[in-house]
Amino acid sequence: MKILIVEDNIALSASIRDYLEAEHFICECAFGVDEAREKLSVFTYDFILLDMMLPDGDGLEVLRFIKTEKIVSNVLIISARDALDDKINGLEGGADDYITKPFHLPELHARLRAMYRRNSLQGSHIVTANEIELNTNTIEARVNSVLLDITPKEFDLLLYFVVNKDRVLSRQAIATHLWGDYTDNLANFDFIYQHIKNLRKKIAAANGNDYIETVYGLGYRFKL
Amino acid sequence: MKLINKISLWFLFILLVVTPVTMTISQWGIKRKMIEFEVKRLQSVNDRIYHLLEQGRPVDDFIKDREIEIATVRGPVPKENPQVIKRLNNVEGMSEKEVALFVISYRPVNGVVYKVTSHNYFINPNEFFSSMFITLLWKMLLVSVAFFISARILSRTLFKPFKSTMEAIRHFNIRQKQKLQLGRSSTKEFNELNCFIETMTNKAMEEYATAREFSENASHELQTPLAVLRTKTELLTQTSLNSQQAGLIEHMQTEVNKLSNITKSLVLLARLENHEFNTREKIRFCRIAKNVIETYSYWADLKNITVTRNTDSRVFIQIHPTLADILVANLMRNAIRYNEENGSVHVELTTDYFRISNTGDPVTIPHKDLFRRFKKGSQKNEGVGLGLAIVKQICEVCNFRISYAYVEHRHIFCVYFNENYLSEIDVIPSNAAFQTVVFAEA
Repeated sequence: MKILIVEDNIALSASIRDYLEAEHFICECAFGVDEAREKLSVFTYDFILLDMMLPDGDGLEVLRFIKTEKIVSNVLIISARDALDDKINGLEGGADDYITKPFHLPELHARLRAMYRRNSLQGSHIVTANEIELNTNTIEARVNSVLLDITPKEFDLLLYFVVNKDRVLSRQAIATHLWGDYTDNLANFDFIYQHIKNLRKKIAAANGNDYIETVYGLGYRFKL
Repeated sequence: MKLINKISLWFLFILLVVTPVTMTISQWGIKRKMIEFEVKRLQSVNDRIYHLLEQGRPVDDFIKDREIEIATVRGPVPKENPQVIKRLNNVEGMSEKEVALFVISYRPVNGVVYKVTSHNYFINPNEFFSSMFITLLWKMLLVSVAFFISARILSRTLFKPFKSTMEAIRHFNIRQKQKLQLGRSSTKEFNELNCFIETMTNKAMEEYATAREFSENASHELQTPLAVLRTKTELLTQTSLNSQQAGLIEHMQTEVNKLSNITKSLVLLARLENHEFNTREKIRFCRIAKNVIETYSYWADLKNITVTRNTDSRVFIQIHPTLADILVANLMRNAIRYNEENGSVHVELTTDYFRISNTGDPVTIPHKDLFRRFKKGSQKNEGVGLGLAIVKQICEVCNFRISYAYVEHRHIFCVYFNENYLSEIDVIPSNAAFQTVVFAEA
């Protein structure tokens, strides 16, 4: 899958590229509105990561260009502005999702996957990892075809793991993914441990393998 | 009181004072003129008689029906010559009085001093007073009525620019990017006022835009490096690390998280101060409270805290939904964070107030500092100390008040929606020694 990263901060855009390339995405970088327009008129991309504040203009201009040129791509806005108005402007301008800086790379990846599932895989909403099968439409998880009795939060957590398999996920990233703003300033991340413990138990009960490993001092990794 | 009514009353007052004075002056003037004229006339009669006497012609013909007395006086001519005597007589059969005016002239004719007295009767000028008074009343009435009516008609056109200015100000919204445009009128004062208001609102808008731009830029400029830091450490975690390195990275991640939270909170505070949240809609407050409490129930369970709720579902409050969410979430977060194992949280919502109380040890800082920025009840906690400052700011934006009290081992935060209610409450009952209620001051 091809991605165009429109972000003027070179360090940030390099980070995103490094992470996504490891996930076998093909990444191109644009550092301004003009460059983005140029690339968009020549190449096609599956996803566009779009920063709102660019040195030579507003990300909304790129959105308008995409609309007028009838370019079929999923657009994910990355912006430092988290005002409700900005989000509404972006989404009404034709973006598919919105993520505010500073974001976690696994979160960005999970959102891209979710967008892909929503927009590109019509009908198929199944994500699999060996014996684990997740239906994102019905929010059902099966292990060896046995339906797991898990909460929506646990489903979300498992999906997050599967999407970001083989990557270390920090407790903060997991917390932000599951609860968003409600995790701000929370004293500790014990609840993540609790959640993962429950999830492990439920998968084990269905004779599933325990793929979730604790990475000391950093977080967790879903290792196939 | 309307301006036009004030002017009218003032005018009426002037009319009431000035008109009687002018009437008295004119009555006095008429009276003087009448008497002067009459004296002159009688004098000329006297002169005529002297003239006849001097020529030695008989005066009888001339006197005829006139009441003129001619007499001779011995001695010299009196100093006062002619003498004028006024006498008020009753007119027979009438209540009015008449004035009898005598003019006595002395003049030597052929060595003999003659005294000629002529007199006349006329209506006492004071008798005019009553008729003048009635005229005066009519005059005052007519002038007042005419003034009141014309003032009302005139004020409608005269104050039209003023009213349109008022209307424009009422609809002026600093968040809208439209500048305030006021029409020009032919009245100098209104033009000055309009100019003044226009420059003032323009300035306010500029300052508002600068403040807003600043918070936007600050947010962007701070969040982007944080995003770089966060993504770089995340990339670092994907490499092979020993446990020491892993520990260091986690530390960094925690601090980046904290920084990001502080930035977000400060930007939120700035936006609250700029009054960027505005809504005229009333929302069902209990719904928001319920959602937030449900989200936090997971954390409450971890500490084995019981959360009880007594919320009135018919409470509608005018508040931006996002702000309501933040308000309840921040209070709820505090109630859980500063709670103890096996403690309890109670949430109460009525039309007058929203109250969250929780068990926990007393705070170590003065209560009045609780709502200040970066003041924390306990340093060992991970919070950044902006949660309550944000709560206070939200209350200010929404015209609520918030109080804190620590009573019987419970922290009690209460948000009052109703100013009237606040004046008649006994915020916290019992045990006066421990009763310290603090209101967040502006």
